[in-house]
Amino acid sequence: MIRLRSLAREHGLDVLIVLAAVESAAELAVRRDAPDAPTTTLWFTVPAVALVILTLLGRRRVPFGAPAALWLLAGALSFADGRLVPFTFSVTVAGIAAALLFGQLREVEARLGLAIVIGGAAIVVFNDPDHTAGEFIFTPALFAIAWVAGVALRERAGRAEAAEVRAVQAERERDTASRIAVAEERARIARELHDIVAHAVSVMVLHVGAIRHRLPDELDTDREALHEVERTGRTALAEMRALLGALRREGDAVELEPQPGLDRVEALLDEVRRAGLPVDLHVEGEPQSLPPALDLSAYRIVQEGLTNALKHARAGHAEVTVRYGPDEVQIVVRDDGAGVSPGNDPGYGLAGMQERVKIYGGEMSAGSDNGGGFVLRTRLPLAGGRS
Amino acid sequence: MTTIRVLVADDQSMIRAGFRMLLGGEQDIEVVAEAQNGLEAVEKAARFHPAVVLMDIRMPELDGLEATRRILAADPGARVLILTTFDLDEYIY
Repeated sequence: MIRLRSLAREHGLDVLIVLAAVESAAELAVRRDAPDAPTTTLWFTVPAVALVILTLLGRRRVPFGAPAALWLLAGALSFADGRLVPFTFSVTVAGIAAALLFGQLREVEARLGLAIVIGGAAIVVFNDPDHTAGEFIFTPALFAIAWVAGVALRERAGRAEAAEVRAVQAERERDTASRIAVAEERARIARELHDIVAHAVSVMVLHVGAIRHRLPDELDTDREALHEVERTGRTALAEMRALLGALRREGDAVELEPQPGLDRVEALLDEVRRAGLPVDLHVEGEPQSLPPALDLSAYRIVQEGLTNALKHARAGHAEVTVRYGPDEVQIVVRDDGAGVSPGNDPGYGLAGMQERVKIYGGEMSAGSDNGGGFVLRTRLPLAGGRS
Repeated sequence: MTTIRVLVADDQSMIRAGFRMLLGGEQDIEVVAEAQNGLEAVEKAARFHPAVVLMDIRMPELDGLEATRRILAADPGARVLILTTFDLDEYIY
């Protein structure tokens, strides 16, 4: 069925062209005694008319040549028999089709085509012994209208194609932007993690050093062992520093503030309020101290959710809920803004947050809230990591 | 024998405890005060007049660089040792 339909779509017009040729032959035979019938023999008129119409079958291979051949043939035939071309209905329709095809061609060819159509029509009218003066105007005008329709069709198709190209390009740009956002977030997570680990190692080195200094002299093997721990720690720090240098971006601001955690959320909310978005914080469950990296990511999630509310949602109010469970922490950022709608992309930051949540084996969902607005829900297991 | 009076400014208690332990073992060094942020460091430097301030750069409220500037403005003779996990030159200017 589908195959039939696609066959019909592809070759339907060809079938119509053949039918038109058959129709004109039949018309010539049936109405051969009509007063305006061609005067030449059917042996000439039937193949001649069929040939004129069938030129349209070549329209795909020779887009200019096929309609040109139709009109030149029609013009030539009208010299042999002035009544032949205007006589059958199908030839007129084929002429209109040819004019339409001309209109769809590129500029120069289309104009040349119009000249051929008007000239051909005028010749056919001239050679028709029954022609009236008005037909010199109206017959070419009829075909010219078909040509204009062809031009309009071509322009519409061109616009549709351009729109499609733009849509594809926009999608590609969105895709790229989203991939860049994810990559940037990964680099940021890596920087933060290295920072946190390096800090932990430096604390270890410091404490080991302090203990080593306090050990009495007679424990020199223990002192030497601790010294080795210190050296290993320092080497690790140096390597970490090299790695962090690679992860830093040109123009990254020097960080003067400690890595934030959920304990800094109040200060963040103050900033958001100052930026003009009233926001409430609800803390549920028993607050507990989180591992530094998880704590930092939890903070970043709240930050991203509120940034979205500020930037994209045109929200009038936002709400942050931090829920401490026995083995997980949930963060919900909700606003009463526009939610997700076409033209209101919630931003690529969410793709970055998704990346962050994935690292901790958590879950994240973002979308329109039932009561309107946008809601970002995340769940971070305290066990941490993908294990 | 005069002791060297030291102020330790760092937002992390583990670091402060580490320095206290490390420096406490020295006979001629005394940790006279600790500060958890830059503002506290400026205030305690003015109050205790330490010979040396061990200063972390990344601190809440007021960062170590600005705290150092204020301490030196108040007392040009103060000695401030800036500590970072990484010795990035760009911090110091």
